Amino acid sequence: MNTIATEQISTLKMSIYRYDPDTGNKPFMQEMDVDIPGDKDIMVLDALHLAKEQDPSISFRRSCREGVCGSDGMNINGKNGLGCITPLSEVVRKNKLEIRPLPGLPVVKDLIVDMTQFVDQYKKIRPYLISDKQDNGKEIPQTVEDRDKLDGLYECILCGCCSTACPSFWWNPDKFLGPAALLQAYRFISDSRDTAREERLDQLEDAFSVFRCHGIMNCVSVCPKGLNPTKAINEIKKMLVKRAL
Amino acid sequence: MSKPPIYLNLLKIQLPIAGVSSILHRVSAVGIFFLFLPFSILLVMASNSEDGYLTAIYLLDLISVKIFLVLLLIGLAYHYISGIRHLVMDFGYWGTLKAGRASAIGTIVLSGLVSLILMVIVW
Repeated sequence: MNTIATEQISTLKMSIYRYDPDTGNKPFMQEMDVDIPGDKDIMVLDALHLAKEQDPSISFRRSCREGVCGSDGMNINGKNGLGCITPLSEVVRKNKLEIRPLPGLPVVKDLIVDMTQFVDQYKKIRPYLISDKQDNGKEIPQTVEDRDKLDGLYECILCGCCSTACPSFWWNPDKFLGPAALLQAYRFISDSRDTAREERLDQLEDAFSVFRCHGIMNCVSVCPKGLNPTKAINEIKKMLVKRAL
Repeated sequence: MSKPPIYLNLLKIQLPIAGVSSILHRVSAVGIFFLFLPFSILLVMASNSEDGYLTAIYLLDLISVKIFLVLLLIGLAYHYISGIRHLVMDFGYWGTLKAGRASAIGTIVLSGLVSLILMVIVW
């Protein structure tokens, strides 16, 4: 990891993707010099707020500012991540910071993208427990071992960093479900309380939904929560192959 | 209302080494697709008659043909080794980011070494 003493960054050269649908002009990169407080390693989101003080028209999503809501996913110096938990020391190279929207999704304004395609794919996997064991709304018990199987799956915050870093999702956003949706598909497939396992697998059994993943691991590389969608996708592939044999 | 832009500048988006390895796998497949046919024709020609064999030997001695043959062999070597990596991953191994990176680097290095040996043999 490249570490830069924040004291050295007095003025950061920021380059921010700008697009305003009202003007109809093509997107462009806006160059700005932003003064960074020298005593601490601030986050990319903080730097964006400093830039916004100079130009209040810069638009981006943000909410919790602590990596929980997943609303400030963006492309930071070429790599997707959450602005709020990405320190400048991790990403700034040669005192430059380029911020663009998440790749592959329609841009609404500046760094704000239309997440409809992403959410549509998420909806397809039916991201909720389906159980015929439900009895008057009572809880469905699960062993500690079965609960452990959900670790590394349920923590996804749906920021979209993984799916929008995936070339298979760029080329087939309507057919390939994408790493985020597939991670959640596996989360429910491997849940001992869910009784729709076979139906879920039926839904995934085609050439595109799962098998468009070629394991390049961009998703794992960018996930701000440190999750591994590639592993989950491989597990689904193995289940589908086993069923077919 | 005009269609909204989509940001997708492949020159600006970082691609991890496993991604580079995957792209090379596809590029090598395209290369093999185009180069395999002429060399298959050469093989058929060489095995049909003595004249055909001598013509094939003559053609294979030409530098330009040798270059294409080396390219085909490099493509085959890379595609084969990278394919094995994908198969291993499909069986559930090398599923972590660290292992994925290491296996991608291993694929590229091993293919380079095999290609080097093949080049020496052809030349």
